[in-house]
Amino acid sequence: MVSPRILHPNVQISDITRQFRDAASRLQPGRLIKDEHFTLFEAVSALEIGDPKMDSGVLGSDHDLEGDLDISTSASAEETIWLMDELMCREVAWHMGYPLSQTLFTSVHLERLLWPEPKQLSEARFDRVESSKPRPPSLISDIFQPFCIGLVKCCDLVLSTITNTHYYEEEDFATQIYNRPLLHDFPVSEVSTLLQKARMWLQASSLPPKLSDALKARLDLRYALLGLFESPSNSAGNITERLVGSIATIEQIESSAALGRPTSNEAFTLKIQRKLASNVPPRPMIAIERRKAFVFLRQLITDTLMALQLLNITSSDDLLVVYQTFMAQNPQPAVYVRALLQTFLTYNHAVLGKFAVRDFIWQDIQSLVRPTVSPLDRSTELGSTTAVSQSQLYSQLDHFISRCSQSFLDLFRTFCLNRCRVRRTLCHAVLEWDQLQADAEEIDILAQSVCQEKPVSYPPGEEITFSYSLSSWVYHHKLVQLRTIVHMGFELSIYAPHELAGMCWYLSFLSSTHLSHLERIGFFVSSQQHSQPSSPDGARATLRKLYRQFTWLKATEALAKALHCLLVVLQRHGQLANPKPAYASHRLRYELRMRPFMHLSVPEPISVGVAQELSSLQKNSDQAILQQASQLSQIARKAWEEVLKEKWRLSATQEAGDSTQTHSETMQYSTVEREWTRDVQSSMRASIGASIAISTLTKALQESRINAVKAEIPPIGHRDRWHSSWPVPKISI
Amino acid sequence: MEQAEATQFLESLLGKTLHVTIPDGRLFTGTFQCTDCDSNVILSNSFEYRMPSKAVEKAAIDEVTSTGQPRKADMTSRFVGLIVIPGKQITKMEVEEKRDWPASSGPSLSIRPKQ
Repeated sequence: MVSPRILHPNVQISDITRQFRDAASRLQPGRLIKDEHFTLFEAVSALEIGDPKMDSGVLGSDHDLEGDLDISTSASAEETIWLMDELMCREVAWHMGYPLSQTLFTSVHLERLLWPEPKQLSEARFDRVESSKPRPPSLISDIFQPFCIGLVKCCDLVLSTITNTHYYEEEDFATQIYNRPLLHDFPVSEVSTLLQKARMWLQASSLPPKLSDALKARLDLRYALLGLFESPSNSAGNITERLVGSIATIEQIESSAALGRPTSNEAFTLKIQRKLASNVPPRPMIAIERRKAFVFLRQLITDTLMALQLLNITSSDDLLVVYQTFMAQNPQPAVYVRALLQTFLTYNHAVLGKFAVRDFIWQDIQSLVRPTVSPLDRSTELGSTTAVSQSQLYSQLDHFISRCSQSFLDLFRTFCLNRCRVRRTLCHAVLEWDQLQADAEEIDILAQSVCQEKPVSYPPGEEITFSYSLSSWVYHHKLVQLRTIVHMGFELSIYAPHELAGMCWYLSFLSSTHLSHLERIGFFVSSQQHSQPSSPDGARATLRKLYRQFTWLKATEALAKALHCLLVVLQRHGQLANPKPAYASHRLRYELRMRPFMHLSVPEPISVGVAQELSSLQKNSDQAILQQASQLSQIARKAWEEVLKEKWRLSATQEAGDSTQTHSETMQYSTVEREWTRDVQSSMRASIGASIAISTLTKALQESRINAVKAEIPPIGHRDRWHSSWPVPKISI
Repeated sequence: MEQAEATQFLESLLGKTLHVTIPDGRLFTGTFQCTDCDSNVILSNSFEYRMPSKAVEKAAIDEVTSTGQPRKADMTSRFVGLIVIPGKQITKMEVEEKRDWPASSGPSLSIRPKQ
């Protein structure tokens, strides 16, 4: 053996090339020497060194790496504009989920700025060589460099926001920074100062106004973005004004983009991937088209600023509508905005920065079911029971609320995930809520005895029972989630065409169940109001809230039933038929589709046989079914009209009589308002679409031309798909 | 070397840090995980070291000749994680070991204790 080299007093390295080869060559072919914990499964993800498709470090024909990262020290104003816009397109690509190595980290300028890692902000420079003579002023060092620093700091702020919330790596966003910290340690204020200085430099320069203005707009937007990402809510200024200002700046940038001219030196190169700490193969460069990048930026700024308005919301009900509606926008808001909305739930350690989580939940419980006990008001004597059982009740109630808090906030958080994950997460969440419901029932039973609640007969004339307030509240939220799961199944095209009838039937079943549940809550709230009219206003507000839910559910139920009828008749005549693949069976498919609902204690799972019997409407003739469908679709349309009259917001309807609503108030929530209205109107259109389909089919049936009928479900995004959550068939003869 | 002995030698290296050089001059260090009869090697938590580029090297030499001060041109390094180096790519292989102090009387560290 060659004598070892000593690296360190305790470490030596010895050459074993020959020995190793010799030993390895004696192994049987196929035999592996491996660490016992190392699996071949892992080996699959290993990068093969020397393979240009796998090894980002392989040098091409040009053998020198550094020499090629030549940064031009001067650039014309046109070239600077081009560089800035190119960077912006790559920044947008990163926001959309592409990793930095394929986007911003292809820029030779950023690489020079960030590596070796600057210890002070003044070290973040394109020319790292110390030089005694002062640098001559140039667009590159006085304008483009501060711009790049501002851009990198923006990315740092965005990254911190996203990584502190719930997101899916690679699915939503790539957080890798390849060992190049994004100027994380330097305060935003210093970066802002650099941008301001750059702007002043520009003002004093003798550039033609057109070019100077174009550069100014780019610096201004960067400055605005920096403020926006730093602390969206703390920045001064009216939201509307800020929005109008930023959008105008983007327009200006867009219109001046044509002034830009590519640089002669290569400004973006994949060669940088060779230098990045990375365990992935080399990947292509991604830059989003200019036009799309501007659309994205505009949306990003609008959504971010609009999101800030949510901080003014005061009721949990409204907030849930807002989270749902805001996130159902198409296209869905950027991952940064989705992260931002999640941070609002724990903003300054409080929901929306102002409600303690317990109060927030209790307010929601209180406003829906008005329970007789309240953890907030312990001074009231509850009946004539002992202090012991009373304190036991309170401690159980406390425990319950803290157990709920995660699940309740997750309701909101879930809507901030990407659409597929929303549904998936809800499928898990309902099981949790099912368990919560069982816990809540125990407390309800305890409360019945401690508060000596008087049972009443419900439904009137039937057996006597108790209010079960807490578990009623849990059940309500569970049913909302179950309904959303089915609706999102339609939206995400999870069900095959022949499964739609069954799912519409199940949706109508869920809605009916929910309707009777709300009726029960309403009954107990009003009967309680008679027995102890302590807060008539509160009870009235609750009944109002129940009414709103009721209208929505009524509309959903009617439309689901109408569609179910329509689809059943279509299927009887061979449309949207089951393709009957060899290994499928109706039972297996049913189990698969109903999996999210099969493990719940309530509503009780429905067996395949019962479901089949109920959903096939065997005993009814085509004629009778279609007639019923026609009536139902009319009811649905009217019910959606009713919903639309209610407006999206509970508090807004309360203030409706109040004409003090200022203009700024109406401007507020414009995104939510618009999306909510569009959603309800689309549901209305879906009802009308269903009506038309039903009458076409009825006519075909009367004229015995039903076999000539063609039915199809227009795909999402198609003009004839009225609503993504409603699979209304289009029928042609 | 007998087959058993060969196996024992290779097994003794598992979990140790290897330094592997490949034809283009790059050096990889990482924890030895796996090998086969073609000397294909899998290393985990690897780093890649690259010799300074000619331009950097030249700049350093120029500086030395002009100033007379010693100047270093460092190798650049980066994390590359789990890698497989094909046997035919290996030009040199070294093992990093704790140095035995003359006083230490324990068993040699180069052979894994048998289970």
